[in-house]
Amino acid sequence: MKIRMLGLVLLLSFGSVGCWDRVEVNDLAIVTSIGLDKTADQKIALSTELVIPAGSTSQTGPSGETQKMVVTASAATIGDAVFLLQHKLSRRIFWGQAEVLFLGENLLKTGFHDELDYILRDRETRLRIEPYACEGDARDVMLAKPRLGTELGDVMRDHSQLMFKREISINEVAQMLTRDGHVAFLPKVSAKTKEQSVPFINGGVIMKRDRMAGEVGLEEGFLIQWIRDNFKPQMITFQPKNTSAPITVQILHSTTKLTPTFEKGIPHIVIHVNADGIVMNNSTSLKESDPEVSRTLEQEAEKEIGRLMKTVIQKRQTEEKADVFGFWKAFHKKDPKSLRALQETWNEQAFPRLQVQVDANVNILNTGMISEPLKMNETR
Amino acid sequence: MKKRIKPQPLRPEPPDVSPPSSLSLHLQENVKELQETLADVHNVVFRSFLIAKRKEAALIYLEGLTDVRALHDSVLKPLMTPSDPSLPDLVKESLPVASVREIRSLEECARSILDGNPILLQDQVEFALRMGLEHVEQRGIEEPKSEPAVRGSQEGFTESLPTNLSIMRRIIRSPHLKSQMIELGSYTNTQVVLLSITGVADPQLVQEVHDRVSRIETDGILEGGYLEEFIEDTPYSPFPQVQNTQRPDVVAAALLEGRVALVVEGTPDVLILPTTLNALLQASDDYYQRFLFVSSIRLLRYFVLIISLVLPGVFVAMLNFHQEMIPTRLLISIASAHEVVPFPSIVETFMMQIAYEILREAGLRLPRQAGSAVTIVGALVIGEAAVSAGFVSAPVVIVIALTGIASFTTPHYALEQTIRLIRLGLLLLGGMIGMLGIMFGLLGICIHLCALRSFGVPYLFPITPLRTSELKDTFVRVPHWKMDKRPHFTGAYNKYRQKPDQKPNPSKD
Repeated sequence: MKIRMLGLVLLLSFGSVGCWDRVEVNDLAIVTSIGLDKTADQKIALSTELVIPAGSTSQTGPSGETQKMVVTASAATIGDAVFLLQHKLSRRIFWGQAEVLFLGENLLKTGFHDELDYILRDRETRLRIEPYACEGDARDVMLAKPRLGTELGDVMRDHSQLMFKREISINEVAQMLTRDGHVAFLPKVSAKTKEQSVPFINGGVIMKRDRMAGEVGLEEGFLIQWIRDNFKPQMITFQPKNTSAPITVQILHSTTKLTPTFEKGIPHIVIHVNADGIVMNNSTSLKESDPEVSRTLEQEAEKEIGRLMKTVIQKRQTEEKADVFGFWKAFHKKDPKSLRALQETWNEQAFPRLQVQVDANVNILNTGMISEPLKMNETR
Repeated sequence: MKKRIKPQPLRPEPPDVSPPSSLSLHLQENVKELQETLADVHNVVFRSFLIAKRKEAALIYLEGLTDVRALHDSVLKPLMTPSDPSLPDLVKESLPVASVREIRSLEECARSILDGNPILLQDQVEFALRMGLEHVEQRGIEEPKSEPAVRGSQEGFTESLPTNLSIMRRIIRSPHLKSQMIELGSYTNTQVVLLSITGVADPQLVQEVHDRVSRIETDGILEGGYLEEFIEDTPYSPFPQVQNTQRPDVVAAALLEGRVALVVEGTPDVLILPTTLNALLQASDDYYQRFLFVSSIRLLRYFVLIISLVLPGVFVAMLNFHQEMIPTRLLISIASAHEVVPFPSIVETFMMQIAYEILREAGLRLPRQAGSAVTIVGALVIGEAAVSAGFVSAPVVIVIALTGIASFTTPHYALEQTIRLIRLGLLLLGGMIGMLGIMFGLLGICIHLCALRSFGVPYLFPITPLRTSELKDTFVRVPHWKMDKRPHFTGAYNKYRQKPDQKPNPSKD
């Protein structure tokens, strides 16, 4: 009897549960990347890159490229645009696989508060989706075809990692814009090259609150990331005194530590950079295998790093007035109470007056496969 | 609720209900009685002769079950040749037969004849002599087909109980190996032998097994499987609570761990109890090969157990409910493959799973010669034609094939059957309510396993309840010189199995 009751309960539960929310993969329009633009008439243009399933299975080998299409819908708000977009498609739009979010230049310049809100609020879109600022329209970047790799998302992430050490998620961006000094740093994508339209990362965009404050090139971008302790190997080139040619040192790894202090009420920050490097090229007569010389080379490199970093910081202090380096966070960690009062005015008032000092420490590990410069010109 | 009147179960009627009748002094009477009892047994032979040309006697035996040559050489010849005028009661002493026993009832005589042991009746003697001259044709000791092992003994049990017992005695040459005989089945009179090692096995366990087995009243026991279902703790559980094996070394190892074995006449499968889920995942050559390798294989086995249990269910659940959990590229290729398939993926997967089960069952039942044909047809139809015709998608074939292969890594067939059964349930659950269903299913299985016991031993022992020191023979197998203690199941036990600190080291002196 007991068994029979149990069987009945099971049967009923199966029947009543049913498969009502089951969705077949073939009823989905899988979105792999999203683009947001602001059109000339102040509408939001939502572009989605959709996968076109190949259909026949036996013919497509592993080399078969997945086909994509880009569908765009424009409306007053992003919510309306999503609704309109769904009307254009026979399958349910599935946002759960979208990996990259392209933000058009116009949108960033006019502010993307509403769009960010929608993306964070939406149930299906992942918080891990990676935002990229676009040079020009996001749609153009999405229409460009990546050559190395098939998925736009993969290509963007790989490139971003190569350039800026790590990808950044929309969740982090939202947190940075709302909490940590209201400034975020996004990688910038461009598809405008002379030869062919291939999307690539050519710099970064500084976001202040909900809109773009300024752009930086790759070199400045590297330095900003370096100060934020997201170091990627890079070259430091300098010309020591009494020499005729420049020397390049490749920095292999480096850690950055920020030490904030208040001196008589004025915020002051020391950037400790600890870097290891190797000599890449040296056509001067300096014998770098000599410890003495090596030490001077290290000092020259340290000086150069200090100079580069200071320049980049000064520019941010005067031009954008945006603390993209995370100094606010460092101060906040040290003295949360007095910083809370400064939070709203930090970028405009305290940050531009911040005293910055760079304490670089470079350690040259080796000199490559040769220990002294080639002596081709005796007069040197 | 209305109470139903249950029909009285039919009690098995034993064939002989009359009290045992004793033999009379007259030979002719006895022979007549026996002829009546064995009226419809066509191959009974009644042979009358004179002992030493003086005394009337009759030899009764069953043709085909008796060693006729030995009967001729060591019974008839010595008795018929006139020698010293020996006294009738000396017949027993003068027979060159190893096993001779006096029996005094007609029923016993009939039983003995039917067993194949000849009976000698003499005039003016009120007992019969039973001679152990039974001779049964049997197959030789062969490799156990259902449990092949790379290393270790290649001998397996046979259908003959004496042979099986002799194999066990040859492995454990100790008087502590006890064997208790229980006869079961009112018609078959099947002999079941309970093996245990005194001093190692818990006497209470031995008693409990003995009690449970002796309680069985049925007309026949044809295989250990009958016994298994009669003595299990939770008869409705899909999990086997008694382990069976055809390998004598496995039985010996179990006995040395304090378990108990039941050897059933007529089957090469010996039952081992109590058993645990862990024991069902151990193979015999786990203990013969190098422990590092074995440990990694053990881990693989546990992992594969889970794979073969949940893979189809999880696949369908993810595909129908949690598309965001699948890596983008994989989802795209699955979607592309599924584009041409006319069925929903739950139907597709279920269909393939059923097709696989059909193939397996067919392969099992078919005559050997046709087996390869089934394999070829099955592989072609399922693997190639179905995919290219667009009935099923290639990823589903991969999932089903992987699951099928994975389930073969389970060393015990009974557990593998359980997993096949549960897998189908999980597939349905996953197809209905996604990962939620899979989790519900797994939780249900977990709860059931935690509650399950085999002869008082928790089924998940030593994982739940956790006995850290006994994990030495679960996910990994530690070297033999580290296994100083026996696993402790229940009750009294003999803790140490060997001298401690036997790790081979260079000697210190």
